[in-house]
Amino acid sequence: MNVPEWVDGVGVESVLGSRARLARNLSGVPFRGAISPQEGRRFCERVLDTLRGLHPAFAPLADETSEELPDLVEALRLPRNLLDPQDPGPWLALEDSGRGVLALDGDHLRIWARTRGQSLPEALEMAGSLEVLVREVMPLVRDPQFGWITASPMDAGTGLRASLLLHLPALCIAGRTTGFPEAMDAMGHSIAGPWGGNSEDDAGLFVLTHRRTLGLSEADILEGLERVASIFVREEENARQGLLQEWGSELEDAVARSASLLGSAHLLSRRELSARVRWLSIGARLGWVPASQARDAMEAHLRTGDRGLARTAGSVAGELEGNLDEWRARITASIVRGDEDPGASIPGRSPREDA
Amino acid sequence: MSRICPDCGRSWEDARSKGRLGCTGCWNAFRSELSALLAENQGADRHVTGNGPVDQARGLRRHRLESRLQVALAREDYTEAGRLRDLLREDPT
Repeated sequence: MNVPEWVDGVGVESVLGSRARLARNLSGVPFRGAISPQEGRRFCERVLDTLRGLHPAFAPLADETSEELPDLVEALRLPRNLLDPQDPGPWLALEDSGRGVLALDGDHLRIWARTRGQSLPEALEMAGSLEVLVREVMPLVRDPQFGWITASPMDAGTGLRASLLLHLPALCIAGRTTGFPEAMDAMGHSIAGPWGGNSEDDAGLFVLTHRRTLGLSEADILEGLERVASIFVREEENARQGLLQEWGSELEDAVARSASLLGSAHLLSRRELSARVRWLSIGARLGWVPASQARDAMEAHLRTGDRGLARTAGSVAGELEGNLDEWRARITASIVRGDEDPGASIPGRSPREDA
Repeated sequence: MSRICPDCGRSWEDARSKGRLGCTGCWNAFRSELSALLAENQGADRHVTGNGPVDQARGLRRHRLESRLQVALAREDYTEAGRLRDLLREDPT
């Protein structure tokens, strides 16, 4: 599994990654939900041929038949709606060097780019330059009134969905995240855990995005998003200092326990690993532990989601099922030790299988 | 009786309840309904015609560099100002 680049910012910064996605559509092809499986598959093949003609480095990442889809969703490399059994049908994901195209996920084409840290203009420029190439070879539909028209009316206009991946461990521990959705709603933005909802298993990660796509320019949308993100960054800093003052040596103890536990635990639940990521990230920001420890904990968290882990464990031996906490602990310890292939810590599994 | 898209056969009622249209033709078939929906939910029913995402992104990045250059000059941090000026010179916009 490729670990996303933004993981290197864990324990260092609060805005881990930026993403820009442009929804674009073609006439004469039904949208997902209205297209037949055969027509959908043909469309995906057309997209594959066209895009590889434009840029041969584009490699297919996954489609609706891919067994590794749960891993890709848990590593935040593909959107979680692709796992929805209520919304079946063909789709295709292609990518190269931080940008790619998702065909038939709602829209015909979702052209995206992902960059590290707070760098929305760079992400938009990457996605936009790919869109310019695509526009030369595929007739994308634009309406004089509505702009870029989309499968969902709520994406029309710019067709832009920009988002920031925030890491807010101190606000989570201080119990100050419960009112986030309502507060953001009032500001025309939305915030949620990266796997949907807002869960204690999310390791303090949040995705912040905007609601409006119409009646604003792309630059207006990015600036609005950055303004809101700056509030979260400031509040996270305040919450970290508040924890330091209020908890003192107890905070230091929680960080130190987390650092030693990850290399030695025999059982590790998703929730506990999520909590350890949060403590270590705060510890790294306070200079108590190296940022690499927080980074490793986050990598373990991404590699050991329940769905992906169950698939991996179940594929090598039936008796591993139900023992996910044990395998999570082994893989985590392996990452902490710096093993080249953490997946090899599952018995009976050849290192080559994870390559 | 709900209006039907002549291209894909989806009704406005169906599109609205699913939050998803059936094809690009639905935008013409349901123009008045979509205008009202967007005005209510997005505060606008018309796209702001711009110069495209690439130019918007470059313009924003240039504007940021110019702001940082002004701050560096005000602080008399000439090393940083020189670095930012070089970046602005290299900027394709």
